[in-house]
Amino acid sequence: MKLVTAVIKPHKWEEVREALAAAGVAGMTVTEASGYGQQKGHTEVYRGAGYDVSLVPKIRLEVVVDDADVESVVSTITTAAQTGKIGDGKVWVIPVDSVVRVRTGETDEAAL
Amino acid sequence: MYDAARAGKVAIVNPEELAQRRRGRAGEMDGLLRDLFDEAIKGQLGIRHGGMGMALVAVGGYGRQELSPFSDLDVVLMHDSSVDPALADAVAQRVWYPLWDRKINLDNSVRDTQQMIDAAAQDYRVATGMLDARPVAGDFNLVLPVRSLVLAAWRRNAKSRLAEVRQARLERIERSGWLSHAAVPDLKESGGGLRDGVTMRSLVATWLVDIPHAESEYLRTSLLDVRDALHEVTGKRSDRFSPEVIPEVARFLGYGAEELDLHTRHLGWRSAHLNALAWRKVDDILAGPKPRTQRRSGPQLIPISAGVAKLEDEIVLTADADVKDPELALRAAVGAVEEGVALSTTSARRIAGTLALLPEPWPSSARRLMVDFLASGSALVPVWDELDYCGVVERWLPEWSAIRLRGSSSPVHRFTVDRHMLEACVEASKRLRDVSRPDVLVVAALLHDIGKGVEGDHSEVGAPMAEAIALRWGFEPADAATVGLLVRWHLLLPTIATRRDIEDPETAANVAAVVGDVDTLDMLAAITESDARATNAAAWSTWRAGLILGLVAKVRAVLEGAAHEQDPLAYEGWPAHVEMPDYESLGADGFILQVETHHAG
Repeated sequence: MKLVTAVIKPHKWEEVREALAAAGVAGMTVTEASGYGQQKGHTEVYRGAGYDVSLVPKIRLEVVVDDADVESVVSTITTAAQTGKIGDGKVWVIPVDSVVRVRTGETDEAAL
Repeated sequence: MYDAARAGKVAIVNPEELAQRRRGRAGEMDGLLRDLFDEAIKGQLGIRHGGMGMALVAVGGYGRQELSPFSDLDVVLMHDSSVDPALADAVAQRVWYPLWDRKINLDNSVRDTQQMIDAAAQDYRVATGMLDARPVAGDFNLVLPVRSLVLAAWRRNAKSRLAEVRQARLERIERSGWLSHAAVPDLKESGGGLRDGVTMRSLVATWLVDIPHAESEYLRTSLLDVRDALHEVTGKRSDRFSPEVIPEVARFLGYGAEELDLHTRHLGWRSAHLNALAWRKVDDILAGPKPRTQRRSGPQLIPISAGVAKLEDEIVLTADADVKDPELALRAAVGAVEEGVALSTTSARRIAGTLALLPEPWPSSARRLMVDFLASGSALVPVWDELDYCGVVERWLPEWSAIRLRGSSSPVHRFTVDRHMLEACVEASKRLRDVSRPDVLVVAALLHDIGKGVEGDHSEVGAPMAEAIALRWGFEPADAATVGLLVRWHLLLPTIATRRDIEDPETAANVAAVVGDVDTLDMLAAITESDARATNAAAWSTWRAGLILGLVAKVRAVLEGAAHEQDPLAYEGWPAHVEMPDYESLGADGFILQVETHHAG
């Protein structure tokens, strides 16, 4: 099993969710996140006063998938989240030792 | 008072039956406790009948024989000084354990009579519980003297005890909100809820204040009915009156879901109003006697405006007030918010009884008074509430009746629709200096959800309503149109910021095309923030604010023609090599938005 984590642009969240749903991913964790990469941040001016947006608003989504599904899930996220511009985000994959479904006590693949 | 039978609906359980069930549960527990007590005495002392000097006492709601399905069983084993405390403890254990085995929620204690009196002197909750004390088993003669002593002490020390009760009530309402206006109220803990009803009984017991007893008891028992139905339906002891359980509770009581929600909130509203009146009297008493100079010269009536004066801590109508003057209510309202005091209920009722309708459109003086009232900040809410309770608001704004006490369809809201609109207005009043037309801003903030009282998308149907109201209130047609536009697009910025690519030059250009000019953008930004902050803290998180303010800055750049100056590498900048779209040529039809509510705000 793998944990797929993606940080994407907020406006791409709906598209990514729909694409993942179409690909059979039923559930995930979504967080409003902030950060920066190559795009850096910058200072905006609002009502004459500058405010720092060095941390850019992003959506972070996490989904645990079976090893066999990793490639297609990553591909689905990447395709749906892509605008081709700076700040499109990142997707990374890390191994997961075990998963337990709290309600039933099912474990690992049965709990996905 | 709602009558289900008259409304053609058959209640599954009617109020009389619910009251009987409450008494029945209490009676059943009485029987159980008597048996356990007798067996305990027999087990400890070896005699069948005894317990002289010991008694089981029901306190609180159980003492009043008002046991809901999941009420705690508040019981004290009281004994006099002749009883060995070890024996009393042993008897108590024999009573408590079978109750715990039956999973009964027991709130128990063992005290001798002096400890009981001392505990009541130290903790107002013990004292108020003892006011409803009822002997259940054992030596009944033990209980009455103690209750009388506690009651006498409660009356004797009322001033200090009520200060304590008042503080606890304020803290409770801060935690649980108001039954009338919280999105998810607590039937017991919220202001105007069951605990307030019991508190009123303890206020009356002091003899310092009096209240309309019949109405107070009607409100309290009606809320008990709703609470019982909630417990019956959910099978849980929670008193949270959440939207998902209301339909089932309503069926149980023979109401429609919306009807029960309104009925319950109205009970809470009336109860809160009765409480406010009682506590105002208590506050006067707690404040102590006025200085001798004031008493010698009688009440100090300080003129505020024509027919309106300040009398101590209230705004009142003067004896010579022209009650036919249609602006009198507005002057009284502005007087109250500017002086930071309450509007006298008596005066508000007098105004409501005689208020003449303003001509349409309103004269500029009336419009200015309304704007001053709306721009007054947090002082607006209690004064508006008082006038609404007395029926004045509806005379100014008939559309208000459709949204009054209406629960929001969205779970993110912390208030009902009407209170949310007022809170948005309060928030907007903090941003008056950010806009060129504060008057337009506060009116649009107040009216931004007025469309929720009718069918259809509330932004779409609310816009013409708001424009018509602004015209009626005497705004120029262009300003009224701006009010309508702000109401129509009050969800535009958060929706676009979170669902469209704000890096895309067309996004800002399209928003700019809708907004039209910087002044309107500033007002829309102020309403967006006010709406979000009035909704809940998360609706204006740093994350959301970053997105929305980023979009606003970009739209501003378009409207000011400065978009090309942005850094091409900046996240939210305008790429220098991309030609600015001609947003003016897009027109209204060039930008079709699917504005779904991110928070149904």
